[in-house]
Amino acid sequence: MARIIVVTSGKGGVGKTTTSAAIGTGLALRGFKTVIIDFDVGLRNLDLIMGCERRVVFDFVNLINDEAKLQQALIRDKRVENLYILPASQTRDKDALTEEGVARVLDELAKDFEYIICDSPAGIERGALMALYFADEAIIVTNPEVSSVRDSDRILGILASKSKRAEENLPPIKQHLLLTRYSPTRVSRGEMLSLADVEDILSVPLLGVIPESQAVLKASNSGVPVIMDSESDAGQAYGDAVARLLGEEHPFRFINLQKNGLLKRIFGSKSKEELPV
Amino acid sequence: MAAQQNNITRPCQLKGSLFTLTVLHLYTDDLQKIQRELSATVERAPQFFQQAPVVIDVHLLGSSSVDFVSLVKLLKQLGLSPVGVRGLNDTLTPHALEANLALLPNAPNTLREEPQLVAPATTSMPSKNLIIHQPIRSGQQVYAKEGDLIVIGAVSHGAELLALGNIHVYGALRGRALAGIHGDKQARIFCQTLEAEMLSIAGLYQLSDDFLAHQHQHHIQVYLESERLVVDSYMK
Repeated sequence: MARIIVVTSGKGGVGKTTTSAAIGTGLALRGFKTVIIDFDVGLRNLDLIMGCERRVVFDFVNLINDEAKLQQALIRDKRVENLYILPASQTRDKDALTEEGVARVLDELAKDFEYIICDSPAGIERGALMALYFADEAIIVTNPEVSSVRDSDRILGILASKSKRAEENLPPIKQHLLLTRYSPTRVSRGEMLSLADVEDILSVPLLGVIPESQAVLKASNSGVPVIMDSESDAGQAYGDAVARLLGEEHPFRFINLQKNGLLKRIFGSKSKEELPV
Repeated sequence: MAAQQNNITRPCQLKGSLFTLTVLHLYTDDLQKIQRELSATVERAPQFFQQAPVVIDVHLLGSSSVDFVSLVKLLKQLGLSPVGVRGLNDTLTPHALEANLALLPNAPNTLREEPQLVAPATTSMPSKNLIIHQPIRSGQQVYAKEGDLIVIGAVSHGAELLALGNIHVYGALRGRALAGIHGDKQARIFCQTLEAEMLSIAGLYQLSDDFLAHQHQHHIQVYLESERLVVDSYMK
């Protein structure tokens, strides 16, 4: 039985697509047959992050409209076995996502895949609602700042009221909090909400904390999911998150201020965390 | 058919019927004053009072005596047609009979008092309170239409709680809370930690700036005291 996981946030630019790519790739690396679906019809990005933009022929909307076969639209990742991408259409809008169409495509995928990752668009309109409607689990991506936290809270409310599970009185969607772009240095200066603050406001179990990292931008620009950069802090943090998603217990890393040595304090004042974002 | 024919053959029959009658309430036994007041009223709409049947109500006069014979004469002069009297005490009754007035039962004042209050108390009613076991998220609105609202969990910024009665939050109250929304001034708001955006009881409200001193404090209750919203700790 396939697990449908939506990656959502309400607010834009917090790292939903980066997270979808990383978590999906991480699950496939662990041997699970995984597909990542881009629900951001009209603002397609997942194919870029996954580095398969030149291989898009058919897309999710073609499947919904019965204009293509599943095998034609699915793009198999060349680096990771068991990993597939279903890109969004760039020329259509969110109205192309009909409930019946999405249900049919998900049903078909569920026969073949163990994990279906739905990369939600920002907002709380049709695209976001369709991405979360059929979900079994939800990863709420949040930046440590007030507007992102409030939008995540709004999305949590929608998960609890407008999803299929809520409407049909099934067990609720399992919720996970993923805090991204976290900088312990800025938290210590009071410029950023702390992990404790965010957990207190959202009261959702923590799946992971992804540190603010240059590796993320580098990975996005080169079309390689950041989880494949196992040297980087962000890549390792996503690896931990995937492990926790599969039920393993791992201590949280990159959440405390690291004590700098004397030399680093003198010469290393321009740490990467202090670079303008 | 036989019964119907029987009806027609009878010369007359008494039947009950209801009429709307004008009632003249007397506040004094001074006939001159009554005459001045009445003639002014009748002059304004003479057609309306032409031979209008009138019941005289004297229950407010108490023990003062009324000259019913003169009063009836006065009313007839003004074109009114007095038919009866009500609100009589024992001393006034002979005078009314002397003037050939019908004696009518007293106004049903006692029956009219809040009859609807009696009905709901007859059976044991299930509680109309609303209990929520999960956090209330931003953008969600919860309304306890018929009783108290009890939330076990936090109430986020941008969420709204409404209740006919009291509001209890077993967690942090960060959104808006409006208790006693149909005007119950006895309603209260309770929360474990106060971080609210707005508090309101019976329509009287305060914004977070008004209770800054209590923000982030624990064990808070909010109530009305002489038309002012009071925020303080219930653990004092």
